[in-house]
Formats: sequence, C-alpha cells, structure tokens
Amino acid sequence: MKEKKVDLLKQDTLIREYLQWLETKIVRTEGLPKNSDEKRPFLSVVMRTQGKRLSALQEVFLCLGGQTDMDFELLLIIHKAMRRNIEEVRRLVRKQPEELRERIRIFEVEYGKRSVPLNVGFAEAKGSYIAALDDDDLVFENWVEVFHCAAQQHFGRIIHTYSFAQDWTRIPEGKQAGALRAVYKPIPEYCTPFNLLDQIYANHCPFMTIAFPAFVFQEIDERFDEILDTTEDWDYIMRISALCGVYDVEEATSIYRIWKNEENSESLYSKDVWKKNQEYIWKKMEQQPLLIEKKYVSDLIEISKFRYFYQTSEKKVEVMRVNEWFQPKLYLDFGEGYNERDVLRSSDSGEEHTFRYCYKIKELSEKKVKSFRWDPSEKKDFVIQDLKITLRDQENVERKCKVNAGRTNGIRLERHTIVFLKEDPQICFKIKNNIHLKEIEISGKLEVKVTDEIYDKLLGESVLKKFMERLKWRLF
Amino acid sequence: MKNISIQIQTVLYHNEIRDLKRAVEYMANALEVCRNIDDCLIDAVLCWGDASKNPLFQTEEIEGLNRKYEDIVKIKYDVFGFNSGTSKGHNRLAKGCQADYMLIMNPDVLLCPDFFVEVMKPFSDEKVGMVEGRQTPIEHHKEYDIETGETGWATLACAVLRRKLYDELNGLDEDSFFMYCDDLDFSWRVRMLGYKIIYKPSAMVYHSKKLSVSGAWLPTPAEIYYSAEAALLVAHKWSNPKRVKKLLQLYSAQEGPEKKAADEYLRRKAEGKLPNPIDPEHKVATFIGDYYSENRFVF
Repeated sequence: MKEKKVDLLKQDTLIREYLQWLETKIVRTEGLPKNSDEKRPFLSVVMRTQGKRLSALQEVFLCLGGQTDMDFELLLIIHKAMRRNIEEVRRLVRKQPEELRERIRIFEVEYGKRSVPLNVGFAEAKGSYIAALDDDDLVFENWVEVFHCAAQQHFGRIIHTYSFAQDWTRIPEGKQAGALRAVYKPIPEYCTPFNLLDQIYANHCPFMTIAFPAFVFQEIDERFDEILDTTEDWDYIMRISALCGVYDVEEATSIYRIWKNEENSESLYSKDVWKKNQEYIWKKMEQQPLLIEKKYVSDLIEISKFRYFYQTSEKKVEVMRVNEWFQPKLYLDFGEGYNERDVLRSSDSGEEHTFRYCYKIKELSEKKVKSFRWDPSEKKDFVIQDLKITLRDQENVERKCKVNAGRTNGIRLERHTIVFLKEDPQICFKIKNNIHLKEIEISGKLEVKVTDEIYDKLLGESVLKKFMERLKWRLF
Repeated sequence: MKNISIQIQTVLYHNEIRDLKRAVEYMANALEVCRNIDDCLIDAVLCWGDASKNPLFQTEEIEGLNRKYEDIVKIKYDVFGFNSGTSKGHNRLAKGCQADYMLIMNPDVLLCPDFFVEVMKPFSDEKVGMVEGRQTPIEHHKEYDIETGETGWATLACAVLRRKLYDELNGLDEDSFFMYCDDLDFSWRVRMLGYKIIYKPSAMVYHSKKLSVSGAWLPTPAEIYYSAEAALLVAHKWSNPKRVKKLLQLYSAQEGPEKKAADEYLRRKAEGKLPNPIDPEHKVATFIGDYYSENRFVF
C-alpha cells in the first residue's frame, strides 16, 4: 500500500500536481518576518477609509465600541485621501473614548488600488485572525465574539458569518443635512451558508462576514492582488478558502449598507471594469488546483444533472422547422389493431413552431375507425402545446376530441400540453359512438427545446428545481 | 446655549457591570467633547436607579467612578430594592431634579462623541420639548420629517427633554405602564401641550439589538407580555376601544404571555384601575395597524 502511494506521487497525477502547488505555498515562509512574542489580540480589524464619510465612520466606531468581545485591534488605513480628510479622520479618532482609541492604529497609504491598503493592514496586523471592515459597515455586538468562538474550535479555517443588506440614504439638505437614514428594513440577503460552488461565479459574501487566519498572509504570504481595482475581496476569499476551507456560523453579525443616493464601489467603476475583473479572477482560478470539501459533492451531482438536462435539450435548438423535425404518422385501428398498412401521412406543412395536419380517412378505407394513434415524431425531448384534435364525419359534422381523454406516453402538464421525453412518442384516442370518420385534423405548437420553464413545471417544487433555479443563469 | 445643566438617568436591572462602566465612559467622553466645543452642559449628574434584586455596585465602586470622572459628571446611585420597571424608576430618579434638561436612556447605550453637541441643537427652538438620538446598528423604523426632524413620538432608549416639561406632565405614567409604551404615552402628552418632538439622526447612540437570520425580532416571553399589556393600555388610554376589543380577542385566543396580558387588562378593568381615556378625537394619538406612527419600513 505504501509503495502504491509513492508511485502515485511520482507519476503525472492530480495529487502530485496539487501537492507541488501546495509546496510552493509552504516554501514561501522562508525569509518572511517572524512574529514577535508580544501579546496578540484575537482579531485585527483592517478598515480602509478615504475620510469622505465621517458620520458613517463614527457609526462603525460606535459599533466596535459596543462589542461583547473587545479582544481586537483596529488598523485604520487612510488611503489616497486629501490632507484635509486625513486630518478630519485623525480628529475623529482623537474624539473617541480611550477604551476604543487605544486600540486604533492609523496608517496612511498614498498609492495603489484598493488592494494596497489591505495588504498594508494585513501585514501590520497583530491578531491571529484578520477581518476587513468598510468605513460604512454596521456590525452587531456579537461580530468579534462569533469569530472568536468559532476560531477557537476551528483554528485555521476561514470563519464565515451572516449579514443583512439594508438600503440607506444620506439626507441631502435641511436641518438634518448629511445625516444617515435607513429607508428599508434589513433583508437577510447574505444569511446563507458559504458555498464554494456559488462563489466561483460571483462573490456572495460581504467582506465583513469573513475572518481570515492571519498566518495565510503573514506566513504563507498570500497577499491581495494589487492589479484588481474591484472584487479584490472575492479573489482573496477564493484563494484562501481553497487553502484553508471555511467554517460557517449561522448567526447574523452585520449589516451591509446599500447607498441609494451615495457613491459606492459598485457605482464608482463601470460595468466593463467589473466584468474584466471577474474574467481575470476566473482565469486565475483556472490556474490552480481546487480542493473541494466533501460537503459539496451533492451539489456537484445536482449541477451535473442540470448540465445533462440542459445540454440534451440544447441540441434540439439546431433543428427548428417543424417539417424538418416532425414526421408524424397517423395509425388507424379498424378493429384489428394498429399495423403498418393502415398508416396515413399528411402532406400539409407546418410553420416554425406550429403545425396543422389533416388526414383523409376516405383515402384509406370505407370502414369505421375504432381508434387512432398519432406518432408525432421518432425523436424525443420536445413539447406539444395547444394540441387540438378535430374529427369530421361523412356529413361534415365536427367533433372536438378531448385531449385529456387520450392516452399518451408523454407527460401531461396543464391542459393541452404534453412533454415527450421518451423515444417513440404516441397519443391514442378511441372513437366512440360508432362514427364514420372522414377526416382527422391535428394542430398545435411544437417546442423542440424543453425549456427551463417546462422543467420547472415537471420538477414541481423539488429540491432539484430550487437548485437549478439558483444555478441556471450562473453556470451556462 | 450656555451654562446649562443636565440630569442623565438610567434604571438598572441585572445589567453587566462592564456594560455600565463602558456606558459611563462613552457618556463622559461625549460630555467632554461638548465642553471642548462650547461651555454648555457645565453641570452633569448621572443618576443610576438600581432595580435589581441585589445591588449591582458597592459604595466603594461608585466612589471610584466618581473619582475617575469627577471633573466631568457626578454619579448618584440609588438602590431601589424592588423591580420598579422603567416608568416608576425614572419618576423616582427625577424627584427633586433641578437640572434644565433630562437625558433618559437605557443602561447599556453608548453615546457618540458628538451626541450632546447634536442633540441639544434643536432646543434653540423653545417649542421643542424632546429630542431623540438615532440608534445604531438597527435604526428605529418610525418616520420623521427629513427637513426638520419632527416626529410623532420618541423612544426613551435615549432622549433628552426639558425638565420643566417632565414636571408639568407629572413624569411618566407609572400607574399604567410598567416598561413599554411609557415613552409613547409621554411623547403624546408632550405634543398635547403643544411641544414638538425632534428626531436627530446625527446624534448617534449604540443600542444593541438582535435579529434572527430571517430578519425578525427575537423577543423574550417577558418582552412579549409587557408589550402586549402596554398595547392594550395605550389603546384604552388614548380612546381606541375598537383596538382594545381587537387585541383582547387576539390575545385571549392565545396561550402564554399574550393571554396573561389580556387577563391582567381585564383584572384592572374589573377593579376600576384603568386610566381615564384622553384625546377622544385623536388629535395626537395615531394608530396605524399595530404601529403608532407612519413608518419608513416595518419588520
């Protein structure tokens, strides 16, 4: 057994690739500064500010002052701020009560994009965990405590907590000008577990919901990517979660404020910048092996199922015209069962997505039809909607067939809609009242792609459906 | 405004000593910041009324705090020896108060450094009777005029008011309200005298509250009981018999604290201990569903 393991690592295996990549992380520790023996707080809070929103910054200070666990330091990184704003931030810090003030260290960074102040803060952090807090975030009294308790039990993992989103405005004028005002209730937008697979497409974790073990930055030298001017948090979360894994705490600890009349990082950069950065991060993800925790296997199975359904139905889109796709045949039973002799094919043509076929019984026989079977196609995976079947007798009297009265190997959805997922699709009807039929007319609409909406209906309210809803626009 | 005095009062009930000391530090800091800007609030007294079963502080601890903050605020500590609730407790603390203003606040509230600077500004208008600070991290949802800050009522989690107004109104209605809606009732009575109530969002205070992960409040059974009882009493006192009837039907059909509140209301009614209804034309009182004002949002 031992020999086999050695062989596995000597060959060009995925495990070897992963371990080699991992080794590059470990080797980097050489030459990096070692931590001193001084007493370290549990948490280093790194906060970037440009000193442009002092009332929000004051509010964060208050929230930090109200923590049930005060085992933290605050590294305030004033980034590319005007001299006047720097002075105002420093003045605000001086105004804080000593209990908070003594925890604050101020740094000024005059260069670089948004990642640079994070790298400065993370490098200076003395805590065993580090969390980034924006200068307009709101945190509950348990923010530090929840991180601390979880880290004591799962040291080394990223700790992830829950957050609300809330709409806010700044009052523009009047006696209250400049004051902040909540305009909608806190929504549990980010009160969901961390999901690595969801995170691959986009970031769903406000930065303050995460605490990173400090050693990944300070000992493995995993730094923020200074090329990025947005989504630097997402990139970092993905890289560190691949190394450390994530421990979820199902407790709300913060509010992410969405400014309705103020600038934020989303409004500061164009959609193109966001898209470019997203693609850049995806490229980076492709360049390193990804360790996936076993809890995601069931999610992967669901994704795989969805891909199968989607790809199978997608192929049908190539064939759009009804005539090219349909080759319907009408089998007639004159009391002897269906056979290949008593078959009618219509010469009528269908338009895109619609069809109307008229079968003349007289052409075949003067005998009375006991039942008929319509085989719309030899293919599978299509949908017939608004199916209408009209019978005409020798006196030209019309009778509408009740579609629901027929038998089919398709799946009925609502009225007049049948989904055919199996080969050899069929619909059969018995003719009552001994009618002497002259014509059978069959019309309807053809959907050669089983759409998401149809799958939704088929799947009802199943777990699979909910999962597909979540993923359908993200992955494909 | 120069040379004005303020009495800050808080009713304690089994609080954490650490939280109380922290609240004093933030309060003292805010007083200092205010004094550094101008000479207002030269005289500040903090009155702690301890309604806990056993006193939270020893005399020496209070003396230590007084030494620590001697140039900023004088701390008085009154051990009630019984669970007074908020209204009776505040009335007791307010007895003999000669200060120009009163700040009524919850024990664990933290004042921002500019609190006094901001909260005192609206009092330059003599028709302003009360000014309330903005709570964080979860802001109160009631509506206010964004131009003037005028609002229908103020919570006494942290609000400043004119002391003479408190006297004129005989304080909080301690006979009716134990701990909830005493502030609503007081606010409406302030407005009946023609005074305005101002919400001051720049006067921030930290007041810890928790939400469940679905965004709902997580009240304790005691909170459910006292808020149900208060809802019935407010509806009765402020002449809304329809609401009283509706609430009684609702609460009586339930088990637990709501039913207990309904029973308590009926007991008081039977014993003739309900307050006399006021404001029959609802010139001040506002009932909108289960709320007492317009709201920017509801939970």
